[in-house]
Amino acid sequence: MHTFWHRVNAVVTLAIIALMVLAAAASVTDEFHVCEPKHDVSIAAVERLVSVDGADEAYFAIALDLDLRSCWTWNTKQLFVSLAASYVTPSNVAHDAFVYDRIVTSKTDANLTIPRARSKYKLREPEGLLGAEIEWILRWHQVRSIHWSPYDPVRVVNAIP
Amino acid sequence: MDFRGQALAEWMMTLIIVLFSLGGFLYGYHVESYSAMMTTYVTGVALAFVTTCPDWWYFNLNPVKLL
Repeated sequence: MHTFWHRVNAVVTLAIIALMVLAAAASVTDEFHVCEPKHDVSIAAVERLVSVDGADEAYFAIALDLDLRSCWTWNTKQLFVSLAASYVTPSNVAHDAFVYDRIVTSKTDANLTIPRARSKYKLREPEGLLGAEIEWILRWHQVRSIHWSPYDPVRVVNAIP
Repeated sequence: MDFRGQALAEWMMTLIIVLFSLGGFLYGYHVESYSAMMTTYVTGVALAFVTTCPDWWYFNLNPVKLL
């Protein structure tokens, strides 16, 4: 500590160590956060179910009533909400296709009430979509500001088929 | 800077940075804002720089008497 730059070096080192501890502490507090979402997702209508070029295509209108505000922590940068259709076709291949997704970037936006959302992506199958039983899976994926593991939590809920 | 001053400088910088980091974390957690935490932390680091790096008068209260 006998020169000016020696002291500057000491302060910078201490500051960086303190910053690392702060970041670790802040991201660990995320693990203790309890998330209680209120979800009510149902299919308002099947808009189109047609056969195009020898394949079945389906478009849906989805009624979304989703309150994810309690899932929003101080470590959340955005929530990626997605609705996937999971079904099995006669050729016994299980599918899990995204039909609708949305990025929520703030806590107030996490209260979604959309009476009729058009599906963004259509379902397309060579055959067997007509009359197939579809199970709807609603996922929300929290993207964190400070990660301590490369895997952010994805919470899954089964919506009403 | 004399020897007592150097010891004081090291003690001061550690204390200031630890206090402001801890206080910043608790305050930021309470208001649920990362900005609040980082602002408090950076204030603490700046304060540590200003109070300990330059050769202030309170670091020279015990001058070394040679000869």
